[in-house]
Amino acid sequence: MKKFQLGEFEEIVLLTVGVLYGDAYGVAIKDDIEKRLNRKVSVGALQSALRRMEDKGFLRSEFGESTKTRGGKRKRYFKITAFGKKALDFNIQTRLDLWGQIPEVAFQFEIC
Amino acid sequence: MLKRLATRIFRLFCQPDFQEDILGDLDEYYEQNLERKGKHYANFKYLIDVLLLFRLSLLREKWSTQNPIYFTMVNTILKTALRVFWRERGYALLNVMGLTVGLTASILLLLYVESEKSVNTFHRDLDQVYQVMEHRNYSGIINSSESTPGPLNTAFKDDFPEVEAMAAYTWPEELLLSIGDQRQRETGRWASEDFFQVFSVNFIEGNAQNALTSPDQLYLSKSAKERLFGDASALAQTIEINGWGSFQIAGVFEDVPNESTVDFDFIAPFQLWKQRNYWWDEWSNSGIFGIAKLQSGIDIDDFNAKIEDYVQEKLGEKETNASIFVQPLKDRYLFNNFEDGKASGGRIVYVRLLTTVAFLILLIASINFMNLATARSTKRAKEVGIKKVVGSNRGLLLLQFMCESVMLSLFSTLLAGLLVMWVISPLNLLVGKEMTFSLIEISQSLKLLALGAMVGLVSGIYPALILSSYKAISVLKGSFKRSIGSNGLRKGLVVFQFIVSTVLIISTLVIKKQLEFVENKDLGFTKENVVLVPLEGELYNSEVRKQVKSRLLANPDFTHVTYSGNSAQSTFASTDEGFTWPEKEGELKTQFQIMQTDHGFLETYDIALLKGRSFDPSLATDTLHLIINEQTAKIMNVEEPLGHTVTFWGRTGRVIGIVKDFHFSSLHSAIEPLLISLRPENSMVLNLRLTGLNNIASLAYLEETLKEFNPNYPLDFDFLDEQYTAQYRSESVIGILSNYFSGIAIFISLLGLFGLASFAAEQRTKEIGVRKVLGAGVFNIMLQMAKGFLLLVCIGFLVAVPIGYFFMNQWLEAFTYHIDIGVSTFLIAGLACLIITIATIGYHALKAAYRNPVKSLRYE
Repeated sequence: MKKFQLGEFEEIVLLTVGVLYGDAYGVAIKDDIEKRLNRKVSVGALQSALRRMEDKGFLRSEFGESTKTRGGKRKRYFKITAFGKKALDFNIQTRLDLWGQIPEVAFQFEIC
Repeated sequence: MLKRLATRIFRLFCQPDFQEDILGDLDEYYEQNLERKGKHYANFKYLIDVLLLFRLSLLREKWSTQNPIYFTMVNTILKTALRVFWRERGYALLNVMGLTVGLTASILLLLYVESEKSVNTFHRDLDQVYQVMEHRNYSGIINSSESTPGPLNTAFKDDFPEVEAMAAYTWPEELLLSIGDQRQRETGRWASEDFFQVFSVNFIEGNAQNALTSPDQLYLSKSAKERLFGDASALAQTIEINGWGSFQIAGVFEDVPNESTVDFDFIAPFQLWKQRNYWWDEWSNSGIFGIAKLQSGIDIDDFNAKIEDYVQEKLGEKETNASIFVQPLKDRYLFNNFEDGKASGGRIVYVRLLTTVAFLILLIASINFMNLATARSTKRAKEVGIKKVVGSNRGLLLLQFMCESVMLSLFSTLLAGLLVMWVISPLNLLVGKEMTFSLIEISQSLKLLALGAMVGLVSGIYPALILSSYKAISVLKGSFKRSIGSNGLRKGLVVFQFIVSTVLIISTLVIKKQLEFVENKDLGFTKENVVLVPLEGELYNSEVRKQVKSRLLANPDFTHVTYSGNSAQSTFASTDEGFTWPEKEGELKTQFQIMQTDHGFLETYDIALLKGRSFDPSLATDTLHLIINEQTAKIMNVEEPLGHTVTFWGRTGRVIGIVKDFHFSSLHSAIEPLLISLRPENSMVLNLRLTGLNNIASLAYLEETLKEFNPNYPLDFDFLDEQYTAQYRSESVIGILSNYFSGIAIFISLLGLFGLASFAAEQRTKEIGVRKVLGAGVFNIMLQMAKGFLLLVCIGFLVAVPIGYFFMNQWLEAFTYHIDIGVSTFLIAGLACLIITIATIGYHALKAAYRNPVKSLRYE
């Protein structure tokens, strides 16, 4: 299903945006991913993933209020769209299906 | 600082919509990092993040989309250009041909110029190396030469702190070198200790340390070493120089480059040479050459002013007409002429001339391109109109047309490069150079590329401006007929082309005539069938000389045999004070040239006696007497020079003969006063006159005879007429070059004319049709067609005549004996231009005249 194509990193970002509902802007997303997954995320990778998914329609964004920190620059908050939810559902459902179809035998790791 | 820069970079590429929030995020990280890890880290990290943000999805629209558009545009331009070339292959071919030939010619000329300019530039510290020169003032006429007093060698360095090193060296001498049985003639010089410090050579074996300090050191060039020793090492080997004893090889150096005014295959120590040449140590004698290395940053005019009276100071009481000066060695080759004691050009004139010709030829080729392009611009006007309507701007159109011309020119350059590689070796043979050219060599091919691009830009810019300026409305409405504005300019350019071509044709004719004149000039002696053999070894013995002479005369092939100090074509020495007669006035400082001969000299050379007699073998007192030429007789200014008492170099006698003036120096200079003295003991040359009927056998006989009497020396001889021709080497090279290159210039001009004529015929198809219908004959139409072009060629010719006359007269003035540029030269040049023009346009005119009017008018 080409329609819901979602890379691994994109999926994580999308999920994190969902988790941080209402507070999902660049720095928060990056910090959260770094904390939970214990991996370094570059600004470039994150931002390009966000914009890409906005283009695809999984995310929408709006500016927040301007604050004194950040040199008066506004934050851009991201939210998952319904289409984004569908994509996530599809992704997770596919994996669960696949998970379910693995035969028991495959997980028997006894020493032969 | 770093942060500001990074922000600026980011703003440059990032899409404006995203900038605010991403920069905000970055600021937040920056604050975090500043707190945790300090300023440097934060700044650095900020920059890295910015660079990592350079992603396709974040770029400005323009960045992500505009580039591909440009790429497509260029692609289209290339494709259109190729199609246009193909559709108009005839014109493209004309252009490529013209440009290729023009480029080839000018590349060759520029290579020649480059190689002339590179003479002497191989020296290290070139700016500090100077040739020591001498002016001699002979009653107001200043002679300048490299020949200087010998004692300068050491004194110069001692007396002037500016002189870092000074070396004396002698004229090139051909000596016989031998190791055991192996013998080899090599040409070299004797040079003093500092020589290798001033003259740069690269040592392969040995080095310049303590060079030339001991009288048995000998230094060989690489090629001389290979001839004598093969591949083996030569260092410390013993070698014999005939007549000079044995030497030890103290060093082997890389051959002196072809581009050098001083050349040699060996260098031997001066201190040995000077033991035998007692005269070298006197300030009043000149004959030694000197090069000096001065401190850097010396003002040469100041220094020359300082040394002007140096020789006079050294001589003290005794008055001299000599003054020395120095000339930068790098100028020695190109600025080789002196007049009134000042450098007055020389080869540099030819270098400048050829550079001009090179660029003129390129210009002619470019003009062709311009003319053909503007003439045919109507054909492309529609294309321009359509393109403008669909939104192309002038810049893009300019780009398109410039691309086309640069493409054509680069393609021609490539062809020209290949052609040059092909013809360079025959050209080297013609002009006696060792020029190299290869497309593979990066520096040369880069220069070539630059040249090609330049030609493309220069020739393309004008048509591109014209074409791109067309207004879409007037082009597409149909009222647009032809570019009127560029017509006048086109004619002007054609006239210019023909001015240049005609001047070149005139020059070629004049140079050719002068060279023919030089070749056929009655010199006052017969130069054909005279063989010269330099005296060596046993031949210095007068007894042997006598036997050789009688043996040679026994063979009927030899009509005359005589010994002398020099041939009739050069003089041995000159004197001003050494020749006196009772009425001579003290202040007269005329230089008299000297020939020292044996009996039979005048007869061998066929020199005509006006009065008196030749030297008579039966009269022993003839050694006191002199034979003079007309010039000397004139200068003596006595009632009857014949029989007058004269004293020459310590011998007092009478004038026994007056010979007709003959040219013993080149035709560049006037015949000087001459003294012929009977002094067989100073003989250096064996002069032989052959019948010329059987030269090969005669020379074989000569070789055999000399081998018998002088077994150590292989035969070495020259024909007098060949030596004579060699004197005019630089003129004949210019003759050859002008011959080819004026041919090329006229060829390119005609290519252009051919193109224009064909275009005119095409444009006037209908006009000619109507004329024919109304009864015009073939001749009438041809005249109509040719009239315009012939007018242009005629104007070009009229302008070219005075220019050519002016330049060639200047060139001829270098010869004291020269031809007059007659009307016939111009007539021939004009007629030649006219005929080839008619031949060129005739084809198109004929074709147009014979075309059936029914066909050309059918669509009306």
